[in-house]
Amino acid sequence: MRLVAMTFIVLAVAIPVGFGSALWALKGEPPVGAVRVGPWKSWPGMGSQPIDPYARAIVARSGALPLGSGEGHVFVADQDDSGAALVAGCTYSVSGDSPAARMWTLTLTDLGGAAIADEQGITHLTGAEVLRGADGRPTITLSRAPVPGNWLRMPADGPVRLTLRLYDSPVSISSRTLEVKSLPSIQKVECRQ
Amino acid sequence: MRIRLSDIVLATVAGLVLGAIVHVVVVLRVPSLAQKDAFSRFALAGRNGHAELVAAAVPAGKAAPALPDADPAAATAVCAFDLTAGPVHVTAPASGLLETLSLHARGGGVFYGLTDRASLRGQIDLAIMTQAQLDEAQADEDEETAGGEIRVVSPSTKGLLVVRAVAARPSLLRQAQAAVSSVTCTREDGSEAE
Repeated sequence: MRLVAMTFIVLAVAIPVGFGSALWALKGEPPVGAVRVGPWKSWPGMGSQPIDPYARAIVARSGALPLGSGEGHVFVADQDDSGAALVAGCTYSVSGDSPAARMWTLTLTDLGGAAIADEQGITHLTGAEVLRGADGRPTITLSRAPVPGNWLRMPADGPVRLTLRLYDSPVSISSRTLEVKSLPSIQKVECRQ
Repeated sequence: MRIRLSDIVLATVAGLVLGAIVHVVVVLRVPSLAQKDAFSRFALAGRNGHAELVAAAVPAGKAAPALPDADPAAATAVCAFDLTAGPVHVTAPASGLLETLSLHARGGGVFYGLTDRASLRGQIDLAIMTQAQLDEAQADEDEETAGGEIRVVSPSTKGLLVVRAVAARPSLLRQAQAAVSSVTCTREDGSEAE
């Protein structure tokens, strides 16, 4: 009786704790290995060997093919500079330098990384097509309504994510080598009421 | 017969330890049990010796790309390789666009990545082989047969070659699609890679 009860307790603890914590750890972003620079995050370990077991499982579950570190680097931002979540109802201004690379692309997606496909507007820009200011730095506006200059269209609602991809970049990605000002700043301009 | 408090505490601690083991086992087993991972979905890609287009810039309003979180500005093609019958040779003709190649081991992990900077005489030549096949190739070769190809040792016999070409402007997308589709992946004897 005592053994049965104890076995029951062991299993009642082990199964939800084991499966629950594993699924929680694999649900979103890799729990380890992130490099954070301002609002931007990157997982340099995802594109090289050995890949950590969490990142490997997340890649397998999502079906993605991550960019190899020899190909380039990926940064994602779900927040603005102040740490507030990026939401479709607000207008943001993205400006400043990005680390050296032969080409960069900036993409506006939902939080899962899927392109926002129901819109007529532009949801990605590249370093070759972007218009630059007098100082050579581009300023990109994220908004629902079209604006002159560099513009990415916000979806109707919901949280959004910015993805910056640097192709053929000599930069090594670690929190020691990157400064906040080496990545674009994301500033909230205004929000719809 | 009553269960003592110390038994409950002991059982809970044992449960937590077992739970940690379950956690580790689940995380480690997910890659081999996943159904929609890239290796399962693209296992037949490139059977005809050419990389197969799997994602590109999809214009707004069209169906989602086959590859989650693919760059909409880049055309992506995939070729599955299997080294059990011999090394696989990859050629990627230069297209003038920014092109990158990466090799993904089955079960996860990018083990090699390069860009078109590595091209020689207008194309990238790559040979994917196991350590045993590399040893054999080095034992056989003399100075005349040693070519300009880049030899890469794969940690697994099966994997994926992924080719991306970035369209700097939307008008270059067709050229990017053509560039990644022109990449070949064949066995030494010229037969198909898969």
